[in-house]
Amino acid sequence: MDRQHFISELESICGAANVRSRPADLLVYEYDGSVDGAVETERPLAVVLPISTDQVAAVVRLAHRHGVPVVARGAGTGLSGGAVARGGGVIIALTRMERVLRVDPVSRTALVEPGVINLELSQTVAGEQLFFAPDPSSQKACTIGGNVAENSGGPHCLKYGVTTNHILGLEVVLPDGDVVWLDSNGPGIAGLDLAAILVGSEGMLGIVTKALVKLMPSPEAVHVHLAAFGTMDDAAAAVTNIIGAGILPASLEMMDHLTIEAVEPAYHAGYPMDAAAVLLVEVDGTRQEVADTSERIDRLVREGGATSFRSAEDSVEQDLLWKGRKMALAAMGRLAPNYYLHDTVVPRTRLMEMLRSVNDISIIHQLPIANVFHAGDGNLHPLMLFDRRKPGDVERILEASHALIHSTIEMGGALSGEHGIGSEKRGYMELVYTHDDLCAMAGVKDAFDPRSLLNPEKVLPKGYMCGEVRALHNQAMAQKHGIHPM
Amino acid sequence: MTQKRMIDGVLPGTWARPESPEGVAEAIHHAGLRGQWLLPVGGGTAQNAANPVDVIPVALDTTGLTGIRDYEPTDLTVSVASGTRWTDLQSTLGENGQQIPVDVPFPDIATVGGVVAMGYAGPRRLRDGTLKDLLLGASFVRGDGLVAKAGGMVVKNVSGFEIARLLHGSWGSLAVITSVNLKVIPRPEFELTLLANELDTLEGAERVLRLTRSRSTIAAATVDGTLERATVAVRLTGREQPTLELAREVKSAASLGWRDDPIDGEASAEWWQAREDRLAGGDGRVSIEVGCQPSNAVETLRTLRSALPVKSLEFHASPGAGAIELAFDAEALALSTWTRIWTEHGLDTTARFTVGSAPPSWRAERDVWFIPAAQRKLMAALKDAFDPQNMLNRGRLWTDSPTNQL
Repeated sequence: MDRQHFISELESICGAANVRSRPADLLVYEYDGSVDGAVETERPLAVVLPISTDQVAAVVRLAHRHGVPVVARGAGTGLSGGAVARGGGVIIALTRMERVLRVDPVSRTALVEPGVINLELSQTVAGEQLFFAPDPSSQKACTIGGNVAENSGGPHCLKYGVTTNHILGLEVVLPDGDVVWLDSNGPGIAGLDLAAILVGSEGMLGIVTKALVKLMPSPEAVHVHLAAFGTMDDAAAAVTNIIGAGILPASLEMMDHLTIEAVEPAYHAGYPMDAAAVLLVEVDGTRQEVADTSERIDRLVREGGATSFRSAEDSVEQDLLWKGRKMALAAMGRLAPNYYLHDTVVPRTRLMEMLRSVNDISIIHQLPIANVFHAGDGNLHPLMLFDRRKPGDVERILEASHALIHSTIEMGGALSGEHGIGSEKRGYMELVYTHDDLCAMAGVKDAFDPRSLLNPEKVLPKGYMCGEVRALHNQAMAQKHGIHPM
Repeated sequence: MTQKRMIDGVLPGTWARPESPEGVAEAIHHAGLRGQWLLPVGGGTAQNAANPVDVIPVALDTTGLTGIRDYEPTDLTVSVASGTRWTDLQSTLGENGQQIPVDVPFPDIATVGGVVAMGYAGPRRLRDGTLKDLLLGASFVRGDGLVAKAGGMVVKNVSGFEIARLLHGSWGSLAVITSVNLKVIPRPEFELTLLANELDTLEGAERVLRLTRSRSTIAAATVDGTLERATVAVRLTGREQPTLELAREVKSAASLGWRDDPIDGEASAEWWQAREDRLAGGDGRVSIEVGCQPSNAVETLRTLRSALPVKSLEFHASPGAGAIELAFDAEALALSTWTRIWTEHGLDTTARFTVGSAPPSWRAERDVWFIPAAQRKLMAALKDAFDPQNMLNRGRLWTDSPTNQL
C-alpha cells in the first residue's frame, strides 16, 4: 500500500483539513492518558477527524480494503493504552461528532454522538431535571464514545451502575464499514443483546457513532457527609458496615492520609489533616429518605470509631467537599512529579486486607502510594508516586504493579474495575482466565472482526487471535474425545 | 432422574440431566456423535415462545446443576448454579435481608439460568433495571462443548468482553449457562401498593407517565385491564416512614381516585407475584409484548386500540418502561393478521414486538422472531463462533430461521 495515496484517499473522505499525517501532528496521538513505560506507544499512520457516520464508515471501508488497522479514539483520557494505535493504523478521532441529537425527557433518554463530553451531556439535560449517571474522574474531558468502549464508572456508579447499565442502543460501524443499529435487550426486542457485548469491548468490535443513553431524574435531595478516621482499618470497616446495613449511598469514596496531605493544602476542602483516612458519603433520594439514611450513616460511622462526622450545610460546601475528591489526582503534583494510577477491584469484604497489602507493597518497593477510591464498590485506585527522571523509578513502579495485580487476584478480585485492559494489563489476562475462557472471548472477536483490524493487540493476550484459537480449540476437542471434533 | 414431560408440545426423544459443566459438555458431545441437537431446559416455564419444532432429539435438563456456590452477604454478591429454582435463590437471599429485585412467573418452577437466558424482566425494571444490570459473571458451555467463564464476583469489572451479559436473553442460542454471578440488593424493609379505581386506559397510561417521569423512587407503576378500561397500580418500596411519605406525595400528585386501602407488606409482594403468574398466560392464549419509547406509549396504545379487532383482549403495561403486553385467544387473531395490522398502522416504525407465549400451532405460521437483517447477520456470526454445528435449539431461534422482514 502506498502511504501517500492512502492518505489522499482519507483526505477525499474527510477533507484535507481533517486528516493529520505529519510526524509533528501525530506525536500527541502516540499517547493516551496512560503512563509512558507501562504501555507501549506507537505512531499512527494517520489521524482522521470525521464529522459523520458516513465518513467514519467510508474510512473504515477504505482501511478494510487495504488491510490497515483502525483505532477509535475519544478524548484520549484512557489509562490502559486503549487508544494507542498498535500496529500503526489509522486513528479515528471522534471528538468532532459532538452533537446531542435528541433528548426525550418523558422516556428519560438522549441520542448522542460519541464525541459528546460526559459532563456536558449532564449539563445539557440539567434543565429537564435529568443527568447521565456514569461520572468518571475525567468527566470534564472524556467522551461518551470512550465511556461506552471502556464501560466507564465513577463515584456515583455505586448506586446507579456503570455505563453498560445506561446504554439502550448503539449505532455502530462494523470492521468492514457496514453501519448497524444494535439494540439492548428491552421490551419487544428479541435476539442477542449486541449492544451489551459492544459496551466495554475497548473498540475491538465496532466503532460507536451514536448512542441512545438512559438519563436519571435529578434527585429531590442530596446530602454530602465527611467522616474522618484514626486508622485505615476503621475507615474500611465503616464501609463494610454501611453496605452490610443495607444502605446504598449514591457514592462512598475513601481518601487516605497521603491523599489528604496533597489535597487539603491545595483546595482547602475541609478534610482534617490529622486523619488517617476520610470517607466522603453522598446520599440522594426523596427528602425523607435522605434524612433517614443520613441519620443511620451518622450512627454507624460513629459507632465504628469515626473521629469526626460532619455534613455539608449547603450546596457550596457540598461542592467543596467533592472538589477535594475530584481534584485529588491533580493535587498529586505537590507530592511527586509523576504518578501511576492503578485500578483494581476486590470483593468489598476484602477491602481492609487489600489496603494492607497495598501498604506492604509500598514499603517493600519503597514507593509512596496514595489511595483515593470508590470504597463502596471495592474499587481501589492506588496511586504510585514516582519521579521518571530518577533511574530505576519506572522499573520499581512496574514491579510494584505486578505485585499489586497478583495480590488483587489472590483476593478474588478483577484486573480492572473501570479503566479497562488495553495493552496495559493484556499480559495479565491469563492470571484470571483459563485458555478456554480466552477462547470464548476470541470467538466474539472473530465473529465481529475476523481480520482483526479493529484496535489490534489489545485485551486478549498474544496468541488468542481468531484463526489460531479455532485451530487450538479443535485440536483440544479432538484430543479429549479421541475423534475429530464435531 | 429425569421427567418424561412435554416441552412446547413435544415429547423429547431423550433426556440428559448433567450435574456439572463437564457433564453438559459430554451431553453435547454425545448428541453430536449421534447427529442430534439439544434443547436446554430449566423449569420449562418459558418454552412456548420460540419457533415450534416437531422433534426434540435431546432435552438437556439443567436442574441437575443446583445450589448456591458462593454467597457473601456483606459483599452483596451471589454465585448460583443455573438449575437452582428461582424461589430457592430468593429465599436464601431473603434470610439475609437481600433479594434479586425481579419477579418472575412461577418462581418455584423457573430456574435461575432459565430466567437469565430468556432475559425476563418484570415491572420493577422501571427503577431497579433488569437481571442484565445485576449480572457480574457467568459460567457456560458453548454449543461446541467449550467450558468457559466470563466476568467475576466483583461489582465492577472491565476485563474482557462481557459474555455474561451477551448470554442474558440469548435463549440458549450460544451456550448452556451453568452458573451466574449476580449482584444482590438489600431487601426493602417495607413495601406498599397503591391501587386506583378503574379509568380510561389511555388516561391511566398518561397519568402513570407523569408520575414516573420525574421520580426515580417509584419501584413499579402499571396499567392493567383492557385497552378501554384499566386500573393503575403503583409499587413503592424502602424504609417505612419515607415510603409512607412518598405514598402521600404520589397520591396528591395524581388525583386518580385511589382506593382507600393500600396493600402493604407481604400482601403487596404477593399481589405483584400473582400479576406475574397471570401474565404467563394459559392454554390457547397468546401474549405479545410490545416495546416502545415511553414518550410514545400513549400513542402506541391509541393505535392498538383502534387497530385491533379483538375488543376483549387483556392488557398489562408498564408505560414508564415502555412495555405493553397484550393477551388474547389464539383463535381471535392469527400471527399473520397481527403482523399485517402492525405494519398497516405504522407501528413497525415506532415500536417493536415479541411473542411472549402462544400455542405451537399459532407460532407455526411463520418465523416468530422479528429481527432486522443486519443484526441477524451478526447474531449468526456469533452463533457460528459459539455453536458452529448448531447443536443448541436448532430450528427454534433466529439464528437459523429464514430472514423475515415485516
